[in-house]
Amino acid sequence: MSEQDLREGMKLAVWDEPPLDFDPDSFMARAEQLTKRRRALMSVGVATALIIATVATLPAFLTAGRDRVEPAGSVSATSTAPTLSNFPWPPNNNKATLRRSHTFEEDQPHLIQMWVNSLSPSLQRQGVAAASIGTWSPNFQRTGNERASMVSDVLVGSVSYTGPTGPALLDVTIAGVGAWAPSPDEMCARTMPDSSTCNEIQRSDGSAVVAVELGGTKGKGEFYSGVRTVYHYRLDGEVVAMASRAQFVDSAGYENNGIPLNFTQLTELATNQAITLER
Amino acid sequence: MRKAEEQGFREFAVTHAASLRRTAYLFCGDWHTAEDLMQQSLMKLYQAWHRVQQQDHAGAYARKILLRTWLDEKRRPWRRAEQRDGELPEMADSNADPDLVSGQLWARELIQKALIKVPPRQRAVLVLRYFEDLSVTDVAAVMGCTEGTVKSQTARGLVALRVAVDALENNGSAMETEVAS
Repeated sequence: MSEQDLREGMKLAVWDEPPLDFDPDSFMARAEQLTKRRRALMSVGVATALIIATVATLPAFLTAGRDRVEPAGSVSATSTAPTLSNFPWPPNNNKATLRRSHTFEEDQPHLIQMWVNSLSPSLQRQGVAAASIGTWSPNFQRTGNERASMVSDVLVGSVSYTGPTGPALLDVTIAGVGAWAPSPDEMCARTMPDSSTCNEIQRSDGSAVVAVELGGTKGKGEFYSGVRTVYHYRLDGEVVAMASRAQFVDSAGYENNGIPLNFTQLTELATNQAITLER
Repeated sequence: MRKAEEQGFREFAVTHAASLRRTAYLFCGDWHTAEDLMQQSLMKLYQAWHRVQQQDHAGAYARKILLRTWLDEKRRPWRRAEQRDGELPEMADSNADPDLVSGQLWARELIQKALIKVPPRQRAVLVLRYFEDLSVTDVAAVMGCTEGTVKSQTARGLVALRVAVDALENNGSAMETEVAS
């Protein structure tokens, strides 16, 4: 069979084609109807997708908002801010806001996430080189500030890193809701008269910050190494404290300038809402 | 769709519906399926008309849609397959020349039986090249492949068609021999 035969054969093959039953009017009407239906379906699909996307991303958006560092309050070691005698402490926590019963093993995944996503990045934002940051191995332990029977809700752990003046430590304390006993006023009272400075600041969101700096002589022949601490009293009753000090202290380290992080930096760390215990 | 666009599409559809159906028939070998394929293709073309008419190649685009609609239809496992185990009674046409009718019937047999045995894409190339008289470049554009592929598919399609025709002719001779004896 040649190509010419094929051409002719194909033309002959359609010689008996049935009459074309094509009504352009009805076809156009059906096409328009199908187009409208398709548009309607697409609208429904887009609306559904938007709802699903909103539902899926809203929790992440809210969580991301928690990681935002609140603007640091004007905490100054020499400020003369009024005391927070009217700050309600302990807050009126009901059972719903208290933490569920837990073990360290149960909390561990959350703590690892918090370290990776919040605490370590926050420290790096204060100018600390990532490579110099050591591990963080917190555990629930007694600090002397916890309420009776709430020891297991006060998490304490230190992070070592290299600061501007050499090896340094950041002591991180996170007290679960209702676990921290002293009010902001009492914190200052407890640290006095040894503390060099202690200031209480009411923040714009209603929470409170207590900034304490210790350093210098305690008594004859005794010294405090320089430690600067910011306690953030949160509205839900949680307390997060960040304390900065040099890791190895000699007589020169008693001076304030041996403390690696300033109050502003510590306040940024302590007020980071992502640094929290899991409910 | 605007009035002008609608009018343009309507004219295109009226002009090309018959030729699209013929091409579809050569693809699938069945007039009813061909009618469906033509309608589906025009429907898809209607939805894309505002894009197509600006590029002034609506005919080629319609053929491309037709080919893809048919290939899609063939891929579907639940594809409608008509069972043709019955025989229609032959009806005499007093106006027809018996020799011409014989040739036309042979050609129809050729298409319905031999061309159908050629693999789909090769069959499509043969129809587009030898029925639609498209150039290799145009066929490549419709098929969405290279010109080299069109040439190789054409060659393979012709070989497959010749094999199918030979097989049909041998069967026909054998049947005639059986009837004679």
